[in-house]
Amino acid sequence: MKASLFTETEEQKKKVKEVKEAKEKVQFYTNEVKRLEEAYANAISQVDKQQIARDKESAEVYAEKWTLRAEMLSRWNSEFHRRRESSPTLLNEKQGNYWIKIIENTNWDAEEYRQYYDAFGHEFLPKLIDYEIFESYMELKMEYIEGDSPQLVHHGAILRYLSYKIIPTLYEWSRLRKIEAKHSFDLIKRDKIYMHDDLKFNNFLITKNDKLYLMDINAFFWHDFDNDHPRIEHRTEKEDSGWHAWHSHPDYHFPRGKWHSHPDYLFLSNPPTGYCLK
Amino acid sequence: MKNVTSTRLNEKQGNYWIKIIEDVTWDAEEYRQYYDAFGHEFLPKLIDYEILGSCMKLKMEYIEGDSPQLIHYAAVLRYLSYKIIPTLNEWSRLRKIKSNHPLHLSSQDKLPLTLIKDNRIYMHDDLKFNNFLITKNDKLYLMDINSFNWHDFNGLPPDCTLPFCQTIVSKLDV
Repeated sequence: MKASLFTETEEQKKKVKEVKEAKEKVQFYTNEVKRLEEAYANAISQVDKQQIARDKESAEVYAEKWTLRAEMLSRWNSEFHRRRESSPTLLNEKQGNYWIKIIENTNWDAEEYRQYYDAFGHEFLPKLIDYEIFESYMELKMEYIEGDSPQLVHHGAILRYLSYKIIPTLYEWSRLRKIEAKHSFDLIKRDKIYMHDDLKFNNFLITKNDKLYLMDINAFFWHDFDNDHPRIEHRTEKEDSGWHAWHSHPDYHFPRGKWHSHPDYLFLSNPPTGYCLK
Repeated sequence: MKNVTSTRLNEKQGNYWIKIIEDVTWDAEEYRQYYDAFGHEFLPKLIDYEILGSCMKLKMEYIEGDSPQLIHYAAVLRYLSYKIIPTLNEWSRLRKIKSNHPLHLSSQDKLPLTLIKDNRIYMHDDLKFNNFLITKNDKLYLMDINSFNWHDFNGLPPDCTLPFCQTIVSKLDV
């Protein structure tokens, strides 16, 4: 618990630093544009003017890119705070024959999870035995699954299991709920996708019988991918360093649009767009 | 797990990537349509194709890049889960709607597409890290395009009918 809080604080500090750096870059390229504008006005030869115009154009592109990056990082930081404040895990441990998790979030839809579990999830999710909502937190009593975190040798299989099995069931569940919602006033589920928003290898567990489980069940939410920012605070240090390495590259194609702002996709220069999830 | 299709040639020729597969039934036009709708963000373009006797020659855009390293695995996993698979799901849904038009016939089978695409899903059936490529600009591509096929997915899981899915369910086949 203490370690987790410490990590988040360090992570947050790093993000604040990144925002600062991005803003400095914006300032640098903005100044550069101004300087080149003046140089262009003072240039005499046509060749010099052409070169300055090209440099200015390039500086404008970088200024725009760093502006977007700064905005995106700022959004990420505010989202980080919001998420941290809204649903940190207060307890996550085995108690007797069960796994008990206490989350500081009373809005998580346990009944939806149960229904999804009954329909599809029982093959790869822990059963939610019981739950209790208190004033400011929620206690989840789950089936205890004994197993280990996946090793590198399992990553390929997890990739396939997720692609061929878990994600399709989530889409099918969303489709079924959408049909159901058409006959009711449940507007929430009409255009959303039920999704686990913290998919990573460490959220899987492999039992001795090679059965795969997806954990962190309170990461299941209905998402409007055009507007939501799936959770980000569980990123590891390793992932963050990867993120930084990839995205500090000046040729990085900055994402546009709300869905693009999901930090997970910033690893890649071809981020997803919302259409696929409508 | 994967459709058994031998590859006779798989190499760069000039500015293109040429692949010759021992399968004349692979639906190149379907791939092109999916590419135009969604796949252009993460797939190589199929420039041309030709049927040569018992083989099919695919001429593709050449993508220069490297296989993902361990540091990329987590991002590839999320990209696949939150992006690629959803587009395949969406493509299957759209094709199903289109195929419900009574006059819409499959060019190959001369059967209503409804019969072919109902309860099926367009899927890459050889998803593995080595089938991804990352360019110098950090763009991710999914390769091995002839692995895109329509698969039976009757009623969808719990009992996933995809053979590879069952394999994975019963035993993690790494």
